[in-house]
Amino acid sequence: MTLLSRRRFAALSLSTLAAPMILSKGAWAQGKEIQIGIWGGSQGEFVRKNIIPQFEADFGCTVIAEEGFTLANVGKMQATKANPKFSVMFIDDVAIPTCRAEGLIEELPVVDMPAAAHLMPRFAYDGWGTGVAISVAGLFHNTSIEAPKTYAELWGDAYRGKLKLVSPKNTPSVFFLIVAAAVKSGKPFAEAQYLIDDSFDQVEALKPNIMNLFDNGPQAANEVAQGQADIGLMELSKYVYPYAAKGAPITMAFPAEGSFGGNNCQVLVKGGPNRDLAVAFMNRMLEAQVQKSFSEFALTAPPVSGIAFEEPTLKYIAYPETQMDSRGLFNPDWNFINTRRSAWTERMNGIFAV
Amino acid sequence: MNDDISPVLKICVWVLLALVVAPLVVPVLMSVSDTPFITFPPQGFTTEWYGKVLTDAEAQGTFLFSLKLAGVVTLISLILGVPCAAGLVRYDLPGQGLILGLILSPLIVPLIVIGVALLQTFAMLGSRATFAQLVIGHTVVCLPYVIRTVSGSFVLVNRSLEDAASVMGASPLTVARRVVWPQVRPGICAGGIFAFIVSFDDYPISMWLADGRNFPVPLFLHSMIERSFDPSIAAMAALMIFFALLLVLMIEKAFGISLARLIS
Repeated sequence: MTLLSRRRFAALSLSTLAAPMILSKGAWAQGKEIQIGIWGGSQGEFVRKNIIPQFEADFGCTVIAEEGFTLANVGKMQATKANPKFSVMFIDDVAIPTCRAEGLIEELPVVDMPAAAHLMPRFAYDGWGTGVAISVAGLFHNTSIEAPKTYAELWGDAYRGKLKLVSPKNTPSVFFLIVAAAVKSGKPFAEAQYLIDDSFDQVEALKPNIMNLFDNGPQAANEVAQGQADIGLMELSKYVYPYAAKGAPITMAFPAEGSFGGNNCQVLVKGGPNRDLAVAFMNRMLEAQVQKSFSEFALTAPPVSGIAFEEPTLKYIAYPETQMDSRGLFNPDWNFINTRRSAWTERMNGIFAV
Repeated sequence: MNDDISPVLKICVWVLLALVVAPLVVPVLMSVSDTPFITFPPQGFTTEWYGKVLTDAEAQGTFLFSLKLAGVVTLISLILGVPCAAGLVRYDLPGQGLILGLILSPLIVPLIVIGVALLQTFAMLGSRATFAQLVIGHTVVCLPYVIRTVSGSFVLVNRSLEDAASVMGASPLTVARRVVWPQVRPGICAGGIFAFIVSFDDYPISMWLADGRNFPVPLFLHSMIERSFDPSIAAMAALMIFFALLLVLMIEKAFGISLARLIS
């Protein structure tokens, strides 16, 4: 029979008492490492400098973040599909159907993500990803210019050579195509998105008003702020409002036809290393405190409900959910669009190439 | 020698130089603008953007990382490239055209394709060594520059001087050191400079292979542009221009490669 000394008994008792606390701090994750693909820009900066260090401290793990953008991040998942390198990937909602169809991502274990309880259903993507940051897409213009009340006005002679148009390779170019279809057909975005194929004459009619095409939102916002162009279309608020908040003479406009939701999401890479840690990280991204500070820094709306913001932030974001509805935040049918987008890109290139 | 150059040619050269250099002046001017966003012409004058960049730990880290990466890549490119160029010029090898074509192919194939192919290969091999991956990727891209430049030097080597030195009793090592090296040195240095600059400036390969711990300057610049388009980006660009200028001056001082010798 083994006898316990008083000292050993005390040590065992203390460790037994302390175990739940250590475990709750993520002892199971000690020493584990995951690699995640995030965005660049101010969002990426905040994730790297604020969210990840705290998560690493709480779980005793290592998170290596690689900055990128949706197309590159999907490309990285495709290239490493045989032996996944990433565990979590940040992409726009536009790419979720493609990633799902190609078997690059897996369905989220929502039971292991308590913070997902407050996720707005519109940002749940049937369980194949969650929203992380919601921007509003619309027009951006120099504050010395009066913004048009409707998108249809942009086709007028008053804007000849004064507009900057988003490049066909950027996601907001799809929003522009939907706008063109809506202007031509007079139908709401939800119906107009299915009429794009017949609306390229409307797209071409805007050509005389286009000064040039841009593929870098912050750079285009800077040019409009300097007065090199009157209006830019279309872009996400997350690229424009940081300038407005700094005092640059630029702001956004959301014409009567409605505006678009630019939904930054997170997905779980299929077969990625340390899945449990990856799920914990995704859960962390949805926690109210993280979402509040993230939204205030990047000036994007959270995809979860129940967060209180001060007026300076609310000025720039569509939040709460009722605000998203009242602004007519439209989310396109990406399943329909993705199968046609390359053909549309070629047609747009054909129109604006020269 | 300058007397032989016609005034028309001199004017053409100066105009050409102005056209090449003028765009480099723009970021330098924008970097001193006293505005929270980039503007040209600059408004006001401040050096605070340089202070912001130079004291930013992230900028320092990426700069030092890029220096290390470009240094290692240059060294490996020279170690592999110089013997390869010498062999291709001096020996009649079977399949020489094929070898040369394969080595020079990164100049033809889009770098973004090479980057994704390398990522796929490394993933299949299960490699997690990001720095080694970046070194291999950059070396693949830099090697053609070294081989092209160095093989040009070897083609121009006067073989009769080598024969004369051998006849006079010089050992092969002495011939290489005293006769061949002075003739190929400008080409090797030029190849090294090219390799360093190509690696230091590379974005498409690094975009696929880098990660948060191994983050080179071009990716950092792109990230800064996305974060906020303020004059600190112009300051960073200006610093890179000054650095490249300093590099050329240092190499000129250390190796004595005059412009005329590089051109010849």
